[in-house]
Amino acid sequence: LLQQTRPLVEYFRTQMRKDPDMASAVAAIRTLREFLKRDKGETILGLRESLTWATDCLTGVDSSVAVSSGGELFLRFISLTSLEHQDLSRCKKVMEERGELFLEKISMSRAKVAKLCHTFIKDGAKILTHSYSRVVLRVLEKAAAEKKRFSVYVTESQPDAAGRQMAEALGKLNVPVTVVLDAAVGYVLEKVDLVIVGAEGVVESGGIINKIGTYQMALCSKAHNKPFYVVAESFKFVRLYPLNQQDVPDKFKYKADTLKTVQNLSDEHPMIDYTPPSLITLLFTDLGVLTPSAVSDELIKLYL
Amino acid sequence: MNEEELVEYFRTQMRKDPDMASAVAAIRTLREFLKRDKGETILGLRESLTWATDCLTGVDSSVAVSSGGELFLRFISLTSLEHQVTDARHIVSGLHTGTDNSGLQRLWCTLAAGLISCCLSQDLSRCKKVMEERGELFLEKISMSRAKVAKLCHTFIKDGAKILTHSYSRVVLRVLEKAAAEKKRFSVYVTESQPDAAGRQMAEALGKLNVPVTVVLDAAVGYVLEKVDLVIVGAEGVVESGGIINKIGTYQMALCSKAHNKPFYVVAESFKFVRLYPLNQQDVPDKFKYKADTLKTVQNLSDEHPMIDYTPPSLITLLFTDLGVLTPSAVSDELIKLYL
Repeated sequence: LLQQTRPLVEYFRTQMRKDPDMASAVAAIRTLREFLKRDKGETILGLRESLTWATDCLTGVDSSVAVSSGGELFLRFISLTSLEHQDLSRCKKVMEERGELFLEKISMSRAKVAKLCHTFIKDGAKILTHSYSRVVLRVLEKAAAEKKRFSVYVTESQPDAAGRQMAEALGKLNVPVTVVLDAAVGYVLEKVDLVIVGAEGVVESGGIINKIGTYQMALCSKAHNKPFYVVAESFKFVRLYPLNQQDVPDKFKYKADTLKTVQNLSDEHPMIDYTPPSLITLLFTDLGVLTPSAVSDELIKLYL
Repeated sequence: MNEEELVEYFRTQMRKDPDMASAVAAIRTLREFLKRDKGETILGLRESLTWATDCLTGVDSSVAVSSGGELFLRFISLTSLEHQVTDARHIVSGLHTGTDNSGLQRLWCTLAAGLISCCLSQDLSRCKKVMEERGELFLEKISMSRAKVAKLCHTFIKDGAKILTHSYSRVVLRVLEKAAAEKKRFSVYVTESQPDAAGRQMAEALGKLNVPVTVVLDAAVGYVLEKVDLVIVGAEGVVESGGIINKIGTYQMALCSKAHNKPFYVVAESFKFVRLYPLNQQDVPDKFKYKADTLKTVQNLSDEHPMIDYTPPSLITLLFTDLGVLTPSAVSDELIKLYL
């Protein structure tokens, strides 16, 4: 049964292992769908509470913003229907069907984003990107498939050197790639034409939460007048409105294990930072190409 | 003194006092070279000193070694014009074969005029003696430069300040030592500064002063800037425009500080002033961008991480030097005074 923490976490981890290319939020949503199927609750309210509890468990495994927002959006989507049936099992059936629909929609989101974004990459472009993002990788794959010639600079992105993983993946696509130091972003920006980054979460203001180093990359791009594009699926839209770096909740800033074990968080390197909307040119999502100001409208539509 | 002895002496100087700037070690080596030089002409002496400076740049490719060597040469040659300057100039133009670039030729003429005019009726050994004395004077001046900078800068650090600095800089360390000695309480954020993690060395040194210090990732500069009050960095070289050449990551730190409206201070001794005018990152010569060993061994430099970047003067608030507290626009004036 998935009603206990351990089987739930185990199922989540298995989903992640089976398809390493899948977003962690999608794995979380699959886990929640399975949880829903096996739930033996008697009331709708009880069901909703259990789903919230399950989402919190999963956030304890993978503390990225997307897992939290994905879980919440799943819950809202499946409840966004007439649940006036007398019989609980019929209500549950309706919810399960909607859950399947939701999963189907989001599994196509990366392809939609890639389709929208690759046209912005011109032939001969030099692109700068940050750390390892599967969405950006997908976009670049599509551009390469369209026979465009471009070269990529990737930041090494300490402390986990995720940029090297990105460089390897790009190397397999036969794209000329150079790994640069995090400190070399300002140095390299005069040479590049555009900057594309992924996002771990998109906030209400239209800003993004992403791997540490994104904020200064956005600042420098603004100073050099280079377009700063963000690619994100819609399940990453989250109900937060940070005004500065401190406003982002600690539970997102550090890895899940760090949060559990470490006493004094101020000694830890934060893993993410917040990029305000004024520095972002465009956001490419499966809901369309949005300016940062349009994000709040789309967010409201999603969450209502 | 041949190349090997020169390099060995330089390395010994660096080892004896690890706290000394590499440019000062280079200048001491040049002074020793001057003492032992057996040349017969002033021009030959000058050429040997230039050759020696190039050798030392081959060991340590930082901008300061190159600028320090050039300033040493100019300072020792800069004596009062007691005899006819025009005669001297004619002589020099005839002597000089013009194998170097034309800018240097013009400068050499000016200096040679000063030197040769005083030596016209004296013999070579007396000229050399004068040069050696001036060399000692120069060394004495620059050995006090860090203390002067620290004295000027520490007053800008207020009690309770949070300071951000980049990588390992002995001048910044000196400034912070002085501020700590003045019983000021402040805390420091240091960037780790890859690829050599020099920031950790800085953090250790600051820890010994009992200053609360936090090492942050290079990527976390934008994140941490809202918390800090001011930014202080050292410089490997100060260029004509008033901008600086420093460890990679300084440029984006300056950009972010400007965006957050935090003062960006640079501390540098005057022997780091160099006759370059880069307009962007590409203009900085490759010989400064990479470590000396990398330049000798690697074929394709574009695969190497550059070690330095250029920060334009528009992003710098003030420069603290032993010549005083300067705005970036005042730097070119001071530079001209130094080099003439």
